[in-house]
Amino acid sequence: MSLAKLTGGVGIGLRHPHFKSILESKPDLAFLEVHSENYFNPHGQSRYFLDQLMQQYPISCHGIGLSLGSTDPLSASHLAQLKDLVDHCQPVLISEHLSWGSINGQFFNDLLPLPYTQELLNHFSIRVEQVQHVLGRQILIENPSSYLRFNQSVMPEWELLNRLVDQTGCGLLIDLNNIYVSSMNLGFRCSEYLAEINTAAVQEIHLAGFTRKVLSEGEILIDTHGSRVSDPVWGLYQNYLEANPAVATLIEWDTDIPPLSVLLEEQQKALAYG
Amino acid sequence: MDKSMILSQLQTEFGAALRYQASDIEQHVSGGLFSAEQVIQLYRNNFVISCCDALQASFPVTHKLVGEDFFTSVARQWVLSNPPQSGNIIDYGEGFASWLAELPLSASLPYVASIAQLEWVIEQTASAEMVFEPFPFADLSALPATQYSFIRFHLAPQFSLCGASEAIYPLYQMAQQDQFEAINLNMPSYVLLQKQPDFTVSLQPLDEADYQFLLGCTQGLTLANIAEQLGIDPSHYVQTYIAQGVLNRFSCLENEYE
Repeated sequence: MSLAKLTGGVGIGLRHPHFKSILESKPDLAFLEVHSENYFNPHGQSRYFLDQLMQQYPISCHGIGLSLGSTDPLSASHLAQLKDLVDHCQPVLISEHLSWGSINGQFFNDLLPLPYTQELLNHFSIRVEQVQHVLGRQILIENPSSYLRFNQSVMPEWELLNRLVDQTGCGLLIDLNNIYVSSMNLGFRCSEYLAEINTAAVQEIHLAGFTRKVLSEGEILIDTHGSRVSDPVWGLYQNYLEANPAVATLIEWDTDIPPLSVLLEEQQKALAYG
Repeated sequence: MDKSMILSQLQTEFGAALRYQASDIEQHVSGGLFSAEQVIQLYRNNFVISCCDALQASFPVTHKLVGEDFFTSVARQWVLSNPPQSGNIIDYGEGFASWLAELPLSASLPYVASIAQLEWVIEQTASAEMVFEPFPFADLSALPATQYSFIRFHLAPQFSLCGASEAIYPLYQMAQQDQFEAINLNMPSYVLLQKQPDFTVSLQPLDEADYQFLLGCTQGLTLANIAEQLGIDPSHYVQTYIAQGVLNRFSCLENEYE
């Protein structure tokens, strides 16, 4: 596929159960997004299918394991494998998360929260620049979903992301479901977040579903990526597109993965908002 | 205190809390309506459950043999004591089988750790490169006879070995087919694994002598070493496994032939 920049359209996350059905049915998709780590092994089955699918669709590489916010050194091995994958499939977008997942050599297989401080901004900026230097490409940074905030945070998430863009030249991937989940859990307004975020830097939108967990104190939203996009998140998407119409959008579904037809229904629904 | 230490310390404390270790992270976070302990527990659940799920995906037959409750219990113990060492969860699970072998359960169910080891080898074999280059017979013929004793034969990367003192091959086959029958589990079992073009892995039972010969090859033993240690003439095995494509190259002294 050509490396034409995505300026809109709706894609879906490529997941193992759908490899064959996408190859066979060739649905009309703007792009496919892969979890980079699942395709590192050039001899694995996932890479075999990716090699075929990348002939038909633009690919976006979405990392979940680089642990950019960790104070451990960046894994040279992980970064080298990511570069191999990027060189191999020439993705239209490369993204990672505003999070950390490892410390003292131990990894937690999760996107853990960070304190939003000047020190974190400086640290994270250096790491983003390291990755962009190695890859020779701009990367996008995605806002996480959060269940807590650090007491020592001194700025809101959107401000940290905007300043990260200014310091590193990275782009942004805005997950509207994550904003909604965090806003409900931590008590801020999505409208303020979206009014303040640097939309000129946003190159991709993620849409996904969440789960409600009821505790004695109240309800908390869990970012499970295991259900359809919720009505409030569709509302955020509609508002976002009214002001920023040309942005690539992804339907993301990672747990309890349904038949491909369900993802395509969500993809069509997103297209209808465009 | 150096401010860069603060982030490092916060993450160290957070990581300790995720592993139920002593931590004061709760003093540094707030969870809105919920207590710091409650929201840390959400992250802890994500960590433990996602890693347990990864283990279950890598060890499905082990899971089937011991059942959901037992597997979840030992998987949780393993995750908390041996968290992943890389940011790629696909790599997770190395050492799980040998850890199982050290548990008290191994005295009554010794085959469980051996089945787990077989599953780990299956997963690694499925991820291996496939090489189908013809064996370099001309190079082998050109070697002076004086060097034959120093030859080392190598397995093609799509082949692996697994051996155990329990009947892992028939047990694995029965578990795959969900058809169990009474067998003597205390019979040694040796398996040659081969990755197939469709990314499945085929299992071929081996005699002990064949296994020991191929194991010697994977350990880098020379033909002379193998002959001495096993008390066999290895030429029969060399011919057999070259013909099957299992041995696809050799080295002699400092030289590689492939």
